[in-house]
Amino acid sequence: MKPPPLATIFAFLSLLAFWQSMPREQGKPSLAAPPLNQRVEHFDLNDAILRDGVVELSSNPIEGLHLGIEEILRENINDNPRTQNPHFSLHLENKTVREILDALCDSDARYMWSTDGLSISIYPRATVGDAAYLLNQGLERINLTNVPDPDEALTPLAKLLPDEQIGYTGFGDVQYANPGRPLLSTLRSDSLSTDLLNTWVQGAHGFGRVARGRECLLFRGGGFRSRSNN
Amino acid sequence: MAQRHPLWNSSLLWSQQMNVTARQFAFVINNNPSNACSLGYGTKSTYVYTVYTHPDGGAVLGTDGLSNTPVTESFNPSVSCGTDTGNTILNTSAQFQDGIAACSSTPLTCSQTVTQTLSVAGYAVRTNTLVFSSSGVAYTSNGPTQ
Repeated sequence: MKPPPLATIFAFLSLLAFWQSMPREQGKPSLAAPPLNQRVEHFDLNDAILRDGVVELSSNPIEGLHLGIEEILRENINDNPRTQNPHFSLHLENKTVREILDALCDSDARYMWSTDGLSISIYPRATVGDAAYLLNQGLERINLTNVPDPDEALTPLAKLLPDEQIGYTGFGDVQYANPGRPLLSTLRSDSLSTDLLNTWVQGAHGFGRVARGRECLLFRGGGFRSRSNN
Repeated sequence: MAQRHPLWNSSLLWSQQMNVTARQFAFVINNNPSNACSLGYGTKSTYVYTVYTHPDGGAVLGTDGLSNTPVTESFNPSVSCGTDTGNTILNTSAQFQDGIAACSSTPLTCSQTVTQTLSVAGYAVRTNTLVFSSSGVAYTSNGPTQ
């Protein structure tokens, strides 16, 4: 089944990869623990929607945290997401990233999360197992080399999927980990979104800047790129 | 009744006069980037901002020791054609950059007009009008310019 026009990629690829973030002394977790096990001293959300929680979590200085969200499509992209999504409040103390992710997905049960290599993906529960869903489509092969940013990564993808809308939007400090570096090599993908994103993240990780901000391959996350000052 | 310090009027008193100039983040000047969207429809531009202060009107330099100063952005109304907002910092050249992109392989469907406000250390230094349309994002600076 083909998705409706507005449900094509550009609208629903709000696939954000958040990296981390604003300098904060308070609540700085141990760097020795895996990201999922690191603790956040205070996690407060008031009248928030899920994406607010992802932003708040990504703003904590958690070494190695790659956090992405694929938002549920709105009927009309111009609709205000705050009127389209459930609101909730959370006040958590000394919880692990894993516990916070569980709490977020409990608060908006339309979402679930999982790890995929180095990244943590939050995505619509209803898309799991839906082969027609664009991000679940498989690619036999895509070759990407020396990709400096999402724009050039998406060009070959758009050629492979000429009937789909491939795009990204975003605002912020657009700096990519290492422009010109052979970031992506030949890739066999069973899962279009996660594999591409994960490979991108791995490339950035190799440059040692994974804790420096946010990036996304398919849909550049909005906002300035948050960075720590180290 | 005010108490005088024991050394008041003493020959041991000394003073030093220093001239200081307070500087306040006041405005920014940006480059004029080209459109780097290669997917066929839309725009992708990276604006680099240099920060200026009042009352001197001078640019903040990398040697001023202000790198890592927080820079924030806000939108009114909130952006429905993209996602959330965020923060950055002044880099070692005391500049910051902001990428604005709406780039797609087919015509864009989102339309919206928003006002973007950029602030350095809490001081609003620029508002821009961003118009989202089928051709991408049109960017217009509303100043201030001095």
